[in-house]
Amino acid sequence: MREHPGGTDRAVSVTVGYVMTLAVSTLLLSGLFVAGGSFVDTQRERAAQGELTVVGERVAADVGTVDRLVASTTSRSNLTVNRSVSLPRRAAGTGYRIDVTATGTEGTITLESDRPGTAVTVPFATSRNVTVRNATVDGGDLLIYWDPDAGSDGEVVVSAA
Amino acid sequence: MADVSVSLDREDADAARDEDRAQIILITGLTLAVLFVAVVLLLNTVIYTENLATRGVDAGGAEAIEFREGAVDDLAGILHREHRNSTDDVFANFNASARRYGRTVADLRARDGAVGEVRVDNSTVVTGYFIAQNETDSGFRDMTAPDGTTTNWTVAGNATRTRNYRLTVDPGSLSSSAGTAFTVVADGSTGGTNETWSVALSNPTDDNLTVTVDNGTTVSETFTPRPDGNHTVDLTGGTVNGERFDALVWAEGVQTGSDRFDLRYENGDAARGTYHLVVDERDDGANPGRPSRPYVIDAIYSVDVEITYRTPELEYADVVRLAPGERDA
Repeated sequence: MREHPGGTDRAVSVTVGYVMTLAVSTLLLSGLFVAGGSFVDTQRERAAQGELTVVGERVAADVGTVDRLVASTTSRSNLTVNRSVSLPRRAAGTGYRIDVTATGTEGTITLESDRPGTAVTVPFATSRNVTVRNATVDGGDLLIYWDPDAGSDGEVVVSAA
Repeated sequence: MADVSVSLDREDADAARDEDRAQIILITGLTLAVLFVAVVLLLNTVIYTENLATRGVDAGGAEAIEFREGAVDDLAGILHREHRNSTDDVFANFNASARRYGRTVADLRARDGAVGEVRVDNSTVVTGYFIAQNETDSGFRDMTAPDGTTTNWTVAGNATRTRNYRLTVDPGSLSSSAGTAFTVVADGSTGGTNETWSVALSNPTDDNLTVTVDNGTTVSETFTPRPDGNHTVDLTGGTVNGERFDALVWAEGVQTGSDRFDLRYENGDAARGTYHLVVDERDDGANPGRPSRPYVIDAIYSVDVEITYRTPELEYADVVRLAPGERDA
């Protein structure tokens, strides 16, 4: 029999080539995976921020509406203002909490997503002598109303519907 | 034959091996596709929320305020008209007109998709007297007492509050010196705050009007007439011919809301014109004979009005005290 040139090393390059191809393509594809995943993550966070900002501004606007109605009346004890607001239950797929904090005529609405690290703060201002009760409610449908019996001269209350 | 079958077997094996190839790429591709679909869904919810931001933010608050203000203004007009025109029961006439008005505005608001209700609360009526002197066929009359000769007389004794007090005078009939001028006096010296407030109307030159307010110190200002040549002084509104006169604060220091005072005219023969006012109390009560000067009818000094405005997003209800033309209003 004629000896093969190269002996037992023959056809090794095919195997090596195959393994190399596998390794390189796995590397490339996992890189693609990681990049794609973090892209989705960034988008998710941005979407959450955007949605929470919009929701927060809406709540601030509705507190403003109730405030204006309260400020323009002459007898606050006889006043009824109920503003029902429908808001999405979730922002970018996760629930959120609305936290209303006010001192004097100025306050902030902080919206905090259940995903850690995503929070938005929207400031608001009310008319003189109109107080807003501090409250924390879950995102979703809200009722913003005037409670004439609360506090010394009534309060604007943000509550879950 | 054998060859052919062998070659067939080999082809099958090759085909099977081909089908197993590129599985990693396939799986990755699929997963990435799912990820991107997730991103699309996410961006979709963002679009929805942003759409919320473009909706009107006030949710009917401005309409509610406008509805309330409009209703109060209209009812003030209706009240004044009933005081002017009613010959019998002012309260019943006003109630009937207010109910008709309530039905009309409810109809109009229903077309805009809102429920609007206006209801006068009869249990809150504060009675008073409407006092007016009209113009006759022969023109203005002077400001003397009902007997036509007494120049210094009491228009309303023991009043506590006054509203919607307007005087229209012809400048040609006024005295030129402030000393003998026609003067409206709010006198709290008997049982009241023990203060006196007065405003004198005189005509120094041309057709101008000088208004002199005496609230402890004397302040005066001169005004040019309206296009028809007359002057209108809104005593409770603090304006002359529609122009603001800061010193003209009706019965300042005399009318406190609880202290009594007499509303008097001095030198009633030194002015010709018309006037009307509403007081909450008056010693001599009503004197509804129209030809008399002035005539006095039972009136509504103030009444509470319940106003409701409802849309799907907003429920608003308020109680407004209707007392048009009060000093503080």
